[in-house]
Amino acid sequence: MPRATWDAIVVGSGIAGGWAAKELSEKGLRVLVLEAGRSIDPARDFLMNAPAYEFDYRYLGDQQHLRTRQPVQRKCYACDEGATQFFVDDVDNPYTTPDGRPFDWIRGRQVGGKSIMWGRQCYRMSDLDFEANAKDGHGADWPIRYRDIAPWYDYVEQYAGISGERLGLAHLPDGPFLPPMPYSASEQWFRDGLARAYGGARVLTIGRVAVLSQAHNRRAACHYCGDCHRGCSTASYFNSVQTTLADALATGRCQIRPFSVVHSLRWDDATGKVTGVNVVDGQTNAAIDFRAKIVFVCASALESTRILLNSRSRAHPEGLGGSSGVLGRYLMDHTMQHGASGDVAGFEGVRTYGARPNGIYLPRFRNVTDRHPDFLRGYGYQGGGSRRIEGWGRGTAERGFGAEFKHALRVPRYGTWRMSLGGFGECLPHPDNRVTLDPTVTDRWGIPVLHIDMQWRANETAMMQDAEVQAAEMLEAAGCTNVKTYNNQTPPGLTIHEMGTARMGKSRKDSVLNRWNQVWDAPNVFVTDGAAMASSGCQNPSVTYMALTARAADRAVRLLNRKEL
Amino acid sequence: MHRRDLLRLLGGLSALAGLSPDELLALGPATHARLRDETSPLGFFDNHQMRTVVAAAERIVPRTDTPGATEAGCARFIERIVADHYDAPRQKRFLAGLVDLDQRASARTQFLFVDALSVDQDAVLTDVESAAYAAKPDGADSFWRDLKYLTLYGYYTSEVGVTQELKTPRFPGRFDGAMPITGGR
Repeated sequence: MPRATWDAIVVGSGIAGGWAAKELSEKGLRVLVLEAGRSIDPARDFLMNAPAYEFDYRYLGDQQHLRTRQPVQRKCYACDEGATQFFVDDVDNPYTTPDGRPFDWIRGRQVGGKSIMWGRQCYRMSDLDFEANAKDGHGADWPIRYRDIAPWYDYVEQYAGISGERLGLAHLPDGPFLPPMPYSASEQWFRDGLARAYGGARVLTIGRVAVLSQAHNRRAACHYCGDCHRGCSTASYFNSVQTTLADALATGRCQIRPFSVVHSLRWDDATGKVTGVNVVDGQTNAAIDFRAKIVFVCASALESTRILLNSRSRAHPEGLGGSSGVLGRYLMDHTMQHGASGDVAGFEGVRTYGARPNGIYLPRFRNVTDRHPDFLRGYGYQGGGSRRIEGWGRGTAERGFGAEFKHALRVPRYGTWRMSLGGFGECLPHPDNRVTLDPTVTDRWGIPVLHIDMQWRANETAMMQDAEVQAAEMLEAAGCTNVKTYNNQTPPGLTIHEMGTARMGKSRKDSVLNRWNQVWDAPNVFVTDGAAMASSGCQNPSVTYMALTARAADRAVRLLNRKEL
Repeated sequence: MHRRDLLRLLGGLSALAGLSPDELLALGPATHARLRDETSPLGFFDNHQMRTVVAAAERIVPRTDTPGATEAGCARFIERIVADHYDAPRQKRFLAGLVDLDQRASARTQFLFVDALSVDQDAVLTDVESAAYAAKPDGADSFWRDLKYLTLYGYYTSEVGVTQELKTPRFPGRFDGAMPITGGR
């Protein structure tokens, strides 16, 4: 087996891996991207706007397949018949949880990773978030502040194209936004009502979303078909396949190898460095050894930590980066499925047109300036307002059939306008929310799998309740009627914002990564995806991974040039 | 395809006797089209069950100024969902529902459901619907609701349904949060 040597290996090709590949190769490095899953050709694999009749089950899905092969993945709203191929096979990719403490782990293994079917919402973290651990003592202090990452937010947002509205809020910083997408009638109405009732203390804005509201960076504007998660033919939403990876490949210095399941990183006692990556070929199960000067681990939060845990050696008995004892600990996700919705009167003469791939955002207002008695930190809301339009579907429940019935169904029946708010709450970093290697279970490639032990705790539970109550209060204050609240207490994982388990920190004693995302115990290894997060904020985190990755890549190349790696 | 089924498709030998040569020739392609529509690729429905589903679906969504359930290929979609998504008791209920259509049609007209006149098929379906709604509010959990749901879903998600009946725009091109409603279509 010939040993290929590269300047940099990037493990994973999703949001973070794509950025690492682009930045490192554009800065002159020879880069190998290792992706566990198959390759993706947008022309063949992106099924945006494929009509129902092109699918065997007309969007109802192959239930037998979902039941037997994707019992966890199917819980994700995006795992529909046009996108099920972007979610992993749960049988090939097992993990374990304690009895009575489920965790829904949603994964995508293909070139592009979950960036193909992600939710695309992008919100910056601020010093309210970066200072939170230090102020209330939960978790370890972040080694960076907003000023450290702000220019990198600018940089990645400028490239990715984020549409949104500037608010001037210190705790939800603005970026170089493309024009905001329009509100619906009930959203605009609710926004005005909120302003009247709360006088600026609580505000509504349109979602900040990585979908182009105008042509940008050689990509076309959104055409509002609403099928982003199936892959977009016009590259109108940000995913690594059609943006970062394409640019990385265009340098001529980057190569992507699909079906490359990374088992572990190879530690070399002689040099005191990681010298490469142990790979199991996804199709042949052959063991392959790839070598590089530096490694970027961007396999998704929990897969990255799994690789570190599996990288055990005499020098690193608890896994690479395990010397502090916190590797695998402080797992976080955002709470969701708590909120309210209500009816909005009026607007009988209008409806929405087009499928806007975006909703509204109501930024955090708890524990920003005041101090809530029941819980620390806060939550924001996502949601939207639309009109109920009953088309042919109403015919399934109505009596009747035949020619007259068919023709009657041609006329849509317009129902009430609704407005809904769904909370997304911050999760405190807790040492006992953690992942370990399962001592007995391995995946299809013989690699030890994770045992995931996580639960919502008192702070999260109190926050969920408050978010439910406050959603109703705001809807009623704006004038909604028939307000209904919910708090479904869904287990963690399904928000798909899993974070932590290899956190950044100020000291090698209580963190896995330093302020540049370098593993304290192996400085030529960088972990730049969700695993690095020291706290979760309540914002959708992907844009933070983009910024951290671009920042770390810049640092890595500087260090390489100074021969300090 | 058995000879007996072929003859049934053709409406019986007696019907053929009175046809002109041109009409006989025209029967060929039409028969082949019907054979294609009424032969199950999955093999879950037998030919008679398939024909019964085709006939019932066409009465639920008939051809008018746009094509109906038959041209939309509803029966094949219905078979796929019944075969792959329904559990055994629900499958059994569906097949029993098809037998019930024949029994009701025979009692009313001395013909099986597929051979009955449209007006009698409609009467049978109305009876089945009434029985379902008498048994449970909204006719829930019944053969009728399954048949009707699958027919409508199959029709409005078919190529015919999407492009000719609904005329759904594939690329809206914009989002309008307050577009004036201008009556029906």
